[in-house]
Amino acid sequence: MRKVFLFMTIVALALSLIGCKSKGASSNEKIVIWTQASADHPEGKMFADRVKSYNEKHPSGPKVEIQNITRAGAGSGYIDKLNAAITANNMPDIFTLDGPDIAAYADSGLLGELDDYMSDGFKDGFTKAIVEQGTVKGKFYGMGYSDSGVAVMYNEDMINALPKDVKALIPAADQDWTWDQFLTLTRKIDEFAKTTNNPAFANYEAAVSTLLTDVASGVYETGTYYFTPLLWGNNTNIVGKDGVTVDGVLNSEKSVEALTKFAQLFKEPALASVSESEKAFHSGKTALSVSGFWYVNELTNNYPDLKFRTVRYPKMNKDFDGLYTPSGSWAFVRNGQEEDEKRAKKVVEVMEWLNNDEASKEYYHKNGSIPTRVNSISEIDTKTDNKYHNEAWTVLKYQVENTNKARPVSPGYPYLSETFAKDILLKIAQNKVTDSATIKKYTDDAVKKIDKEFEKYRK
Amino acid sequence: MKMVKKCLFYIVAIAIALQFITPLVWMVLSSFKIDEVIYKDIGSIYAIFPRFSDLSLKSYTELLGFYNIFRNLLNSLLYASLTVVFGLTINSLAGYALARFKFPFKDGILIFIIALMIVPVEATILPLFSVVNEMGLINTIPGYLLPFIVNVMNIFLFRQHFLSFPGELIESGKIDGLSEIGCFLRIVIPSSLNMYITVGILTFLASWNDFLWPVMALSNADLMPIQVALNAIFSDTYNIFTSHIMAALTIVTIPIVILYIIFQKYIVEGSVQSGIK
Repeated sequence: MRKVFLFMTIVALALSLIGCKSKGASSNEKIVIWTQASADHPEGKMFADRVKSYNEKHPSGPKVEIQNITRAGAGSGYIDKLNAAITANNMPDIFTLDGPDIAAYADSGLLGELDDYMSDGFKDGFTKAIVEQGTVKGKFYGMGYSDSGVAVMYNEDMINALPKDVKALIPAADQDWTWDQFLTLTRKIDEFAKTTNNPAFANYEAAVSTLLTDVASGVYETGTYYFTPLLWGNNTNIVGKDGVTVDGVLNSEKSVEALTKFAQLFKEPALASVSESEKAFHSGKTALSVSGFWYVNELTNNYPDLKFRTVRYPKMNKDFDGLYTPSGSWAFVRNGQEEDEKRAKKVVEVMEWLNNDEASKEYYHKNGSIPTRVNSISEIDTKTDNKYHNEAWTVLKYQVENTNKARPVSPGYPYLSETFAKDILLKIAQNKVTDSATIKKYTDDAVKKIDKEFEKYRK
Repeated sequence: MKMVKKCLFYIVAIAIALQFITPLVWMVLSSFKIDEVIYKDIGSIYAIFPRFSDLSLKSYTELLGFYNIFRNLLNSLLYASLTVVFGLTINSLAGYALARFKFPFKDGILIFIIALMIVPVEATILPLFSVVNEMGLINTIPGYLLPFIVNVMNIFLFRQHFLSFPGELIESGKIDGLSEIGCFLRIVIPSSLNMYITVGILTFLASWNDFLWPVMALSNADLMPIQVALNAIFSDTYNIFTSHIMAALTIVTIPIVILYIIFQKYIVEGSVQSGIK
């Protein structure tokens, strides 16, 4: 007993002495990359493979090392560690950030701009939305390695049970449609569901799934990501082009008009619910769903009996010809504290390797990441054995190439997104408000809050 | 009347027990279903009493194909065990010194220790990271373990326990020729085993459930503990499979449930003594 105890004490003291060794400074011979993807996950593995191939093809250059820091939820864990590393002046050379967060880090001077270091024409290889996402005050900071998308899905069995005139309201996968058409269809589905005994409607809860449950449970970005396009399609936004002005934008007449359209989903009898069941669309409880691109893999792999069809995200009006569909995802950025020009050039060279056409294709095949390079979008496979999968990807591919728009670039985006989703979208849905006057009041109140928070960015 | 009271007591006790056990049973059963069946069964009796034909090992085979859960599980077991062993050694010695010896600034040190108990771990994470980083220990097992070996709450618990330890026993040990450390090893520790087990279990559970510090301190995937692996599965962007999550949770919960069953007496005692719920 005594020997064991003494041994433990000595080992404990020895462990504490280990800390007295000199600081392990990061080597200049090494370029370190941090990503939010778990090492075991296909996303982590695809980065590891890409880095491995870089090291193999550049044996004389600095060795590139990748470290995977698991994120929790929207990015905490990873972001906590990143922020701690910033405080400790121990930032990696390259790291990943979610698209909407780039502006905040760039505004704080933590990111290095890329334009002066990239090869000629490299930036032009990205889609417009990805360039827009990575650009802050005219400077390009973030190379998006994956895009995203949102479309409308419908349950084929439920739609087939509808009367012919209602069924005819569904557009083809290659047709545009409007929120008015979407709302008319949704209302008619709801009316039919309440009178029919058709088994396809046996579990019916609501006409459309909107995932506003995410907003109610604190995942605010889902609401902003899904429904800001109503404002974009009405030639307005949740923040001005400078990224810090909300008054006259978020509470403008056009914004209120778009939000009043959104509110129609919750007009009694409600067509959607903020307390919809988990996986409501997946389990046949709603006929329609506003669906993120991740639904395609999920439904194909885990709900083999669900016949899901996909159509484009609706426009606010049919003549609108600007960009309006949700997009964006995580991107690679570089450490802005790097002062050595030669090393910065090398770092950007590695970033190009991680984001070139070949990488974009690899990421799609290994992880299903939507390509961000114009030349790689054609890799999206729309000719598999599964016709539902093919249709969904045909729609998403069209949107990535033609209509995807970056979320607003603002240093205060997290707060902006939270306030928009919580104080406007959620309030409208929970209080079933449909009149413009109340919606205008909600937007005015939100503008006051955001304005106060954004004062620090205006200084 | 007595019989009725007894029946009522059991009905209420069973109802409360069911409320706590049902989610656990649902988790285990859902881990053997595919997502489609999990959500189809929700709200029906099949959620708890599934059809045998709906059960399979698919989620486990898929999960283990993706993630090396057992490696993370072993890492967690190693870290929690090391934290317990070194933590008990250091903290009990500190508690013993504060309870039995006279030395300068003893009261001041004790007040300082008590004051530190109110500082939440989250508030210290950033400075902790900076210190461990300065020491060059980021991404090493010592760097991960060192900050949480010393635990002010455990020092305080040991100090309170040793205060009430009969001094006569130690005195008689000394008369029989034992040194101070000999008394501690041969008399104090064997007589305080309950306290050691209680603190050990609380330390083990805290280490097992920790997520934030391992994410901060470790980057090497081979060193990651189980809570980090779980979060990776929860945060998957492209393949959100509830059945995988349930399978992972089931695998992770089993060691803790076994530990709880074996040591439940001490866990309850520990909760009462430390005021932790």
